[in-house]
Amino acid sequence: MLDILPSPPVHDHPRNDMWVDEQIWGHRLWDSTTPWLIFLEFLGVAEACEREGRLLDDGGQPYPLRFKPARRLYLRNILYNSESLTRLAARGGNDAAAWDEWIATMNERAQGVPVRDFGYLRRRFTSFRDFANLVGMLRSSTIESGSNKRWSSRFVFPFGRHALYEDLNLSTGTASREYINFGLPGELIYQMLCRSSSAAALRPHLSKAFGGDPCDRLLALVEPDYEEDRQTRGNAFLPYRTHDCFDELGRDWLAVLELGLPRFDAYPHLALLGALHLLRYQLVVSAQITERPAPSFICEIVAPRKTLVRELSVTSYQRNNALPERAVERFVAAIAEEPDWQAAQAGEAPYTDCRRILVDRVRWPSAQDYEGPHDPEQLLGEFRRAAVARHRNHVANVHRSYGLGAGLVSRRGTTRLRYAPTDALLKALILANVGSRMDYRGLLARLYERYGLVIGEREARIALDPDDYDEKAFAANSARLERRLRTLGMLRRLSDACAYVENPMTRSAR
Amino acid sequence: MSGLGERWLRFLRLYGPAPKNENMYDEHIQRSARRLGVRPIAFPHPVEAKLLHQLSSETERARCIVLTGTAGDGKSRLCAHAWTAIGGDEQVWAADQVFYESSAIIAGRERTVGVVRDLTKLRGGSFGPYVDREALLVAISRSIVAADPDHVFIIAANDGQLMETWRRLDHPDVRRAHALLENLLVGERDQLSDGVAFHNLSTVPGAQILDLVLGAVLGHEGWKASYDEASETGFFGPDCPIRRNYETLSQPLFQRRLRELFELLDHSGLHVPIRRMLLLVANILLGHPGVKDRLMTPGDVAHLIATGTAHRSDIFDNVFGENLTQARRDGLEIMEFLSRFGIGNETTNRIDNILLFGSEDEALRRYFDILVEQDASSRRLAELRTARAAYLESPDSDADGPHPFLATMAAQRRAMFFRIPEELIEDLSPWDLSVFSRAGEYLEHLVAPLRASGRVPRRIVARLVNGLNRVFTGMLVTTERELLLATNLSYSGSGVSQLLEERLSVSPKRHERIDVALENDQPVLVVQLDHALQCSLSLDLVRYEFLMRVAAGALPGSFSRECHEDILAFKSAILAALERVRPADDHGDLVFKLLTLNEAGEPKDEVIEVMDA
Repeated sequence: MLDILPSPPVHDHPRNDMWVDEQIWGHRLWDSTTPWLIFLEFLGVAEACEREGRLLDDGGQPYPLRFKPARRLYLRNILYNSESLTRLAARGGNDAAAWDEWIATMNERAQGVPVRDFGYLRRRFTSFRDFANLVGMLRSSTIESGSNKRWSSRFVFPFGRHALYEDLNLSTGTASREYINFGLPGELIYQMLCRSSSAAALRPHLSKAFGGDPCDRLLALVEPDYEEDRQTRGNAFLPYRTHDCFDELGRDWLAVLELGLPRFDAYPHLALLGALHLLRYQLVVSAQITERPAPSFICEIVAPRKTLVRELSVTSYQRNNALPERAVERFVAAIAEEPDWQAAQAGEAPYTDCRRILVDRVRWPSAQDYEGPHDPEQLLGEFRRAAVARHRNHVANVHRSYGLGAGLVSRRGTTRLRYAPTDALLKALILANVGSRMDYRGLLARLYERYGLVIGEREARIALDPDDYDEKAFAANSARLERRLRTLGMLRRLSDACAYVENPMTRSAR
Repeated sequence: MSGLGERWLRFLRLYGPAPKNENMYDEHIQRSARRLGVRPIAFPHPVEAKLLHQLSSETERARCIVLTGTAGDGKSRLCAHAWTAIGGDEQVWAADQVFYESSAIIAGRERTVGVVRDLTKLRGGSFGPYVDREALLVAISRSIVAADPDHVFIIAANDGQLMETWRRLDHPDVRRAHALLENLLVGERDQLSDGVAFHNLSTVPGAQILDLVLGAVLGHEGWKASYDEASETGFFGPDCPIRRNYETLSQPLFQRRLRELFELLDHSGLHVPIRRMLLLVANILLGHPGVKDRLMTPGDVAHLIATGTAHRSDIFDNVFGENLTQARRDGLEIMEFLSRFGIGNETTNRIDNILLFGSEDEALRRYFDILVEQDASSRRLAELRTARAAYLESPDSDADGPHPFLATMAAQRRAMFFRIPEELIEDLSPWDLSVFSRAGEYLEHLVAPLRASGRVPRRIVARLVNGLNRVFTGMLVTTERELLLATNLSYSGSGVSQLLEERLSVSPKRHERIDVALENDQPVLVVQLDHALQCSLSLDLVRYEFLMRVAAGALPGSFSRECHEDILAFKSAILAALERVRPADDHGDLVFKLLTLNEAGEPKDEVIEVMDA
């Protein structure tokens, strides 16, 4: 049974013209984003909460999650709104003159800063050229995220708390929060971790992320000392008080963080795993609502030629892709099965009562939304159409988008989308699941138990219909994975029957 | 009844790669030997002496004995010998039961010895005093972890089966035994490891097995008998291909080259079981692409000589299984291993010039004589001459595909590999004919000095360090005296690494040192960070070749992706260890060392200091 929280008050989300996807999965699972952006958003929320001494601790009150993210506009102007910096440094000449010229340009052109004075930088950095080199070094670590042209939506690598800030739009002159790049899935991850069983264990690891790195200290110097005017945010809503998926996410992140990887090597893995778990969360919840078994993912380890596994993988992808929409339809149908709907239909003013029920439950229809016949059946029908259409706009794409981002879904070698895990994802999964050493077949079983990934013949026999199952094809699939893992330095084969997967970080250096 | 020579060769043929020899177990071989009236091939297994000592009364501690390895490693034979050593009856053993029990005096007192002949065959039913399979396995587990057991056991099992069986057992006493067995198998330390005589037959070096097999096969009396039975135009006569192969195989130079190949396989962690080695030797002697099952019988010889196709049994091709079909070759692991060297496909301009123009060219004539003409059959030489002439006259063939002469080039290169004598090695390395051009250097300047005195020439270490530096920084540095640990700002992995974290000195400085040592007969690069902390990288042949190629200018992404990943993981390990030894200084001034290169390829770190206000 799903442990559902009550919906938040309507005026918290005035722009949502319907509240269906949000009740099923939360507000919101945004599709046009990447694993890194989700991770950055998460870090921003975590930093803000840590600042107030409540990292991963919602104090027993799951909603609302209010926090004040940093903005760091001086830093961002220097990093991303100052092309003249490298030009002036390369030109050479008198150091003082270069400072003068650059500071003057910045004072004039900077946007969103309260006090137009960049002179503090002179006192902190000895030479202009050094300063330019350092800024160049920091710029080279920018997170590339598709076509982020706008300077106020560019993000530097999260070295520490001074590298974290929220996504802003400055085109009008004043800063306003944008929800296109940081579309709220990062906040959902934060809330999931708060409610997971690993929250306490994760705290010390995550608090290390916010300070201590030399680049973070450098970034602190680039920003002046002043009280930033921060705005309170906290829009996200996660509908379940607890859920297995939250615990699984927490477990994986904790396992990776406990490896003690050097520097920030853990981050790419955390980002991928986060996206993977969100994808799974959407499908698992959908399966629970439609009373289907938990989703499985038939994975093809890319072969040079078309194989049976590829076909099955395509089918598996398409079936899972349709699952969330089925959940929405089921949700709609469930409303009609409820006793108060039945009572309203049989009562004196069926249309009015049913309409009121809908407005209460899903905030739809408003006055203009429905102008059809005053009939509950028709109303429900129109509602179903509208809900599915709205779902298809964004939330339906999450499976594809997060799958592609996490490296689970791919078109490699074919024209259709199917499950074909990338090396990066395989590595992240192994780091999260293999202590120091695990029998290869044990790994396949584990991947199936925990994530539903089907790669080898044993798991395929359990997951598939007997008609679809082909032992040889899956055995070959499994052999390809073995070879792949060996190339990545993560597998040791002792003999025909004996192979061990090794976590490259924990095995003693051989 | 035919002569001993012929019968000996018919017996030897049973080891070869023919399809019906697939399931030749030791017992079948023994029976065939008896049937043919031939003394079977036998040599003491390297492990046998130690094994028998562990079952004697003088041994200092009673231990369970585990014989593991892959199929064909000799487990059954050793088990049988162990059984007779503790006084068991051979006839009883011949009954082929799965479990036997006897008693013997081991380490000073009498104990019962249970023998599990093949763990795979242990299924249902009772075994001796043990009511079922699980009871027996539990008893074994208890005996394994006990300090002075009353019941000891001898178990023979494939490594995979061994692990699988113990993993499936769901019994508390068993878990410790399982962990212990696993640690022993992968070579990790375990407190209780002294209590088990764990013989992993897969760890016996292939070179050693080759020596034993060659000794036993070439020393068999069947050869002398063959000479005595020789017929002028047939079996073992002057034109007999089997005799020619036997004589070539007996040459020290050939054996030496063959042994070097197996030494390198050992250093690459590739194991060849005894049965496969026998298969190879049988194929070497008897292989021919034109006979039934591609293996000659004594009866075939006369016909081959008569039709003039005897010379097609080319011993150099046989080593690599070229007499077999492609499918058969792919299915045989030993052939797949040997094919990894790429001998026959790799070459240099110089080598091909010798093959193409050597017969006419003044300067190359000398090489051509030694490497192509000498010892070759006249028929073969004649064929080559015609093909070569045709090719040189018009390289574009009429038929589809490349000119037929080019196909023979591979065979000639293979022959050349085995023929290059000691005197010419400085001039023309046989390893230029393989993918691993530095294999000779590996054996001569790395492994041999390490075994002898434990020191490796400075210039080898310097080049290895240079290769590592190029991979670590992603730049074409020339540094050889220090190890540069460079990272990106955010990620310690691949790509160009700009930030210099640390420089580690190669020659001893404070507690830092970088050197090559020998561990378990395998060269290992050791980076000493601290008096107590070190990181090591096992230098197998592939990694060595990779690092040397990179030091010579190849891009790290080429040649072997696995190596590239391995070495980057090594860098991560060193960085992680460094972080433990020298934790970051939180309160000092900020210093950034940006790494750039000057024109000479020397790394220059631009140090930028920022005062932390």
